[in-house]
Amino acid sequence: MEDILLPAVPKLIQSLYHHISCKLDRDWDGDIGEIELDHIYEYYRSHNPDDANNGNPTIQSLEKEYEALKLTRDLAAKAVYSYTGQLMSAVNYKRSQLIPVQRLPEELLSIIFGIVGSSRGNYRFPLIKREPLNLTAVSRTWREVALNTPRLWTKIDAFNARIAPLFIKRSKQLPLQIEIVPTSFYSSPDDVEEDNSDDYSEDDSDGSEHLNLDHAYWSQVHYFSQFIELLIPHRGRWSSLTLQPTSRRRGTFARKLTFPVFHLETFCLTSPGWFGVVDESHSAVNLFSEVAPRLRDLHLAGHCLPLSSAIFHGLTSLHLERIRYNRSSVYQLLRALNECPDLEKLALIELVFPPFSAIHASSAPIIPKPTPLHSLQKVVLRLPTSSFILRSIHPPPTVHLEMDVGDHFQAYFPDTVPNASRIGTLFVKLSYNYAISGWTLDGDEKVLNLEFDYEASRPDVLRSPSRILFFPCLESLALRCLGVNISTFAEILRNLPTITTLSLSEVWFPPILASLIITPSSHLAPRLRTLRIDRTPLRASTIVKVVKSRLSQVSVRASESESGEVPLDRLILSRCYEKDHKIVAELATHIKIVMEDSNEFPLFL
Amino acid sequence: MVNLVTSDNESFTVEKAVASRSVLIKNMLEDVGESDQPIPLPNVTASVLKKVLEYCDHHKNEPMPTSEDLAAEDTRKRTTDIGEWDQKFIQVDQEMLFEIILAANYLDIKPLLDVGCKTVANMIKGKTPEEIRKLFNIVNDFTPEEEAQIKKENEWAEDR
Repeated sequence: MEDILLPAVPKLIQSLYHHISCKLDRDWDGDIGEIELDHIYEYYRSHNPDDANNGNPTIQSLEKEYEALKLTRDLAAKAVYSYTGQLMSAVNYKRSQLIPVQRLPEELLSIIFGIVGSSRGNYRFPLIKREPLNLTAVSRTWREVALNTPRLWTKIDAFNARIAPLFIKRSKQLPLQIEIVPTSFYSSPDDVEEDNSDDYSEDDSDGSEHLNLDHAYWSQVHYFSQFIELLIPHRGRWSSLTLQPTSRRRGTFARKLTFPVFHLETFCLTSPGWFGVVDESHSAVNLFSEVAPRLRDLHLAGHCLPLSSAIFHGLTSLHLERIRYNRSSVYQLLRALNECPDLEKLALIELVFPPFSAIHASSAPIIPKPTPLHSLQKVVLRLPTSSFILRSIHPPPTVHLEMDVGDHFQAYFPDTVPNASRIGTLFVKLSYNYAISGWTLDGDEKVLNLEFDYEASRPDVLRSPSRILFFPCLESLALRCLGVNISTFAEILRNLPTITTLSLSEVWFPPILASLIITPSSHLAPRLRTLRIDRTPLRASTIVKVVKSRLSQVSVRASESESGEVPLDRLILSRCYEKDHKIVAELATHIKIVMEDSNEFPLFL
Repeated sequence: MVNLVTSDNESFTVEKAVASRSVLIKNMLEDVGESDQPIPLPNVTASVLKKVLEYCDHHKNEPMPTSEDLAAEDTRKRTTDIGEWDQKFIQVDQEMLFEIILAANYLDIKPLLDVGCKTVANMIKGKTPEEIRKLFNIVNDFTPEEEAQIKKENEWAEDR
């Protein structure tokens, strides 16, 4: 190879040297006509700062010649690198056109880029691994397509905030989505499931990338004012704004946003749960000057807006969380809901309102005419006034309801909770108070999830809810730490004749199991097929009687009366004591026994 | 039944319901009316059409996506989820994958195009440019000047 190169090099360098020397000479003569000569002059001067050999023209001439040669070498190398680089690039471009992926026309490549760019999981990756920047650095074709796919550039978040102008320019006039949130915002279980981005965690073995992302977030949080001011001129393009400040100066975020936003559709302002409840006195009263005519999705957690604000009008999704209202009343909330006839999602969590006695003479609520919300698909109510709110709105029967009733359900519980009559599973646990959960499934999906925290002075668990709610479809009942006597337990079972699965865990008074023995005068839980007993001392005689009676008596009675009674066909024993194994051996001759050793309390049996 | 002829002159006789998953063929059938004439598909080879018809046959009883569905898909945040059967179906080599995408585009079978594009999107997601090049056998064809420009542009991102 040297044989080819070496003869060519002297000619190239001599020719180049000749040109450079001529230019340098012209330069010394004061004939500076071209900008590039400035550069050469600077170069020479920088290498002869002291002009130390001023007195010896020969040395001066040699040094000049030497510097000219050096410059020639540098420029030649640069030119060769650039020229050959272009030739190589052209060759590689031709080669690129022959590979399978290149067969995709640009419009299809653009669709693919769009899918990657708009998938939520994309934003969990460090910027360099994220669309669109990585796509612009693959090849010339991909870069051209990426630069001409404006929707790739519409998302501006904490991680690309510094190059936001680039994104604003390249997204042309498309609506912008702006986010300043920490990495934890992207790591809800739903996201992981939705985007299946396991590959991120593989790369993130030492967690350093997470740290980098968090660093990016924090740097933007501190410079929020500058960041948002950069985007304010483009507020006409804002379609969604999601902010999660995690500093105590959380009010600063909202106070900056005092201008109208005519195209904003989604606004989400949240603070982490550990910040606790915010007081209405800290509310941002002038948010968007109350002008956000296209706003449909409003999510405030740990941040407050007065409920009289026009921002609440015309929403399709409303989420309010961790707010203590002391100026707005719960009636104002209902009025706001009244302004949202097309509401599809409603979540009210940990909201505290002034007591009813502060609003009107009576301490009891005055139930207004229910607000029709025919489009409601999902409602989450976790606040002391859940029952009141549910009585004051009128959702369709298809609504998915998640409701924490608190301990006021006796007084305020609505007459008809959607899908309550279809509750199939109840889970009752005693800790300091009774916690009762019940849910209705539609396929695999929960359409109703009710939770009671019942502070009973005496353990009449289930008796009170049963007075209000009927459970005609209840199939699974799970009771834990139950401290009731035989007659109370019998009453519970009498009210729930449809159960097919019963789980009893940590029963304080084991003789209550005798209620399950079928006798000519007693046949509670006639459809019971599965009985699970966990961490409860088994009394041999009782459990054997239960099993035998539910096998023999039921079969006799069923054949006589066809009453729908079914025999017990499965007994699950969990964490049994050693001595109970004798009982197991005897029972196994009559029924299928399953031994478990799990700490998990079965929610579904 | 409908007779389809590929670019390599192979003939496929399929149910009308299967062929009509392609909007292109459906429109042709509607235009021509009842006819025994074979439909030429000059942009699709036999091996690719076989795969495409396998997809169409599996999904023949599903409702066709409406224009509203397609518009909604464009506006909302897209997921890159692919159904279980479709995932197995699309497990092919890269060459075939891109041919299926091209065929789906030509034949106007939006759901299949969607599966193909999502598959490629999933392959790209979270990868660095170098990893993407390696995956698709793409060579870096930037000139040194372009490379310098990209480096400058992505300088901040390099640190993150």
